[in-house]
Amino acid sequence: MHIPEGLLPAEQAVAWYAPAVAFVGAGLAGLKRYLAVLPSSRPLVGLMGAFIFVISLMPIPVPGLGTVSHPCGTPMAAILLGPLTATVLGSVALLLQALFFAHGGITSWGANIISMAVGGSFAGFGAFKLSRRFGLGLGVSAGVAGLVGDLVTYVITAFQIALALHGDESVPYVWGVSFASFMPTQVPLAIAEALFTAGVVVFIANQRAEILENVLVRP
Amino acid sequence: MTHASGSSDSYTWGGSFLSRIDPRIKMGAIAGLLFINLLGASYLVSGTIALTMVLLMIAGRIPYRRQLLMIAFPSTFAVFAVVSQTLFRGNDVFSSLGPFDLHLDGLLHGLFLSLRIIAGGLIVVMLGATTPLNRLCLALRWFRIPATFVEVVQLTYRYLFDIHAEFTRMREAQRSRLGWSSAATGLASSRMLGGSLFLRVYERGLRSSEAMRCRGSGAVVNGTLASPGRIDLVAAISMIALLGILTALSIAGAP
Repeated sequence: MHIPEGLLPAEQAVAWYAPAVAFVGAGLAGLKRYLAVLPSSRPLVGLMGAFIFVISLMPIPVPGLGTVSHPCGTPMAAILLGPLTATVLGSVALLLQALFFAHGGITSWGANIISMAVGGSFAGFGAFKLSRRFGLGLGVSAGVAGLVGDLVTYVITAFQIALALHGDESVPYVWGVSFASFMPTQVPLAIAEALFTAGVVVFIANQRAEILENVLVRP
Repeated sequence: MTHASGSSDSYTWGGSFLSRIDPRIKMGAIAGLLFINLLGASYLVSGTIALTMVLLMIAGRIPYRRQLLMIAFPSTFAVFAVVSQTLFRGNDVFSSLGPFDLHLDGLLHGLFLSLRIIAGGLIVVMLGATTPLNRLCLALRWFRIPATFVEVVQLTYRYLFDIHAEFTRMREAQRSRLGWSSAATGLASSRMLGGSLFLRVYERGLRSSEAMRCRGSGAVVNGTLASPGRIDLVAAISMIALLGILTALSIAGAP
């Protein structure tokens, strides 16, 4: 669920922009170096950006609330290209979705970058690395990354919404209500994202292992 | 993107006067409108913006179905804003729903928020629906947005069409071989489709990327925007007038 244009108060929109710009800036610096060293990675970068766009544009209605959930795609991009590059790709996907479908927004772009691009990428990548360190297989580790990245994205988004819409109730209470409301759709979606991420990463490892080797992920 | 011809560029290039306006002027106007929409805190301001955008869309000949698609996502969140504010905001209880009290002042604030969301959504898609992506990228570069970011925007946009083309081709091939005739074959086909789609688009992209590099094609967006003309001047003056009116309404404390 991307936060739409106009939902966040101006001061919160600005506050979310500040860390988002820092992460995207760091990601762009790294991506520039990466593309200079490995120019043949451009197709993978573009493809992952497009995958994030498509995956995070699959709306699943949330019963009773009137809004929608969707998978993220950023954990898979983080496994293949690193979390900072995945942050850049997530931010680009969010920008294009906002422009063409009003899915998200410009003033809410910073908040959406923090939840989906930063949260999904770093949580997914961290879970992947941790799982590998514990000796789990590539597919299981990728699945855990998809699951964790998806759920962390929604924890952050629910917090952002609670902060913006808590009214006279406490932020933790509205945060809990928001997240609980999304659980019936988000948990199945997180499991689906885990299966999808695991499936694609294993498929790539079996068919074109050099893609993973280029980005320092050994099968 | 999901327009009948498969591309939003198909009507952003369609000859509408909105498409001919310099994207830098549009981006400036949109930034101003978003700013006022967020800070105006007024039904009248957000309502005027929403109405103006709808009228511009009609004048810009943006297809009716496309307009509905654009407004679908903001509309779902507008409902969410009304529900959440009615539950969580205010003290004036007018009814209750199970354990929750429904507040009249919260409902009114929720309705205001929903109008602001719709207006904001319409402002943003107005830019996307009337500006071809390459002109948008040139404008981004003119505003000194890093070249790497603009390049990723272009790459992502291009691969969306590659994914769509490969997906359609592979799914049709699977259908013709009865790959989706039962649940079991459907599951196997979808697994094959997902993995193969990734690799085929990747390999196709790799080939064209290498070919472009061999021909000396650069990575950074090429070209420049033409100098603003008469239509741009008229658009800029109109937008400044609209922004002035909206600012005056905001300062005057319009309801």
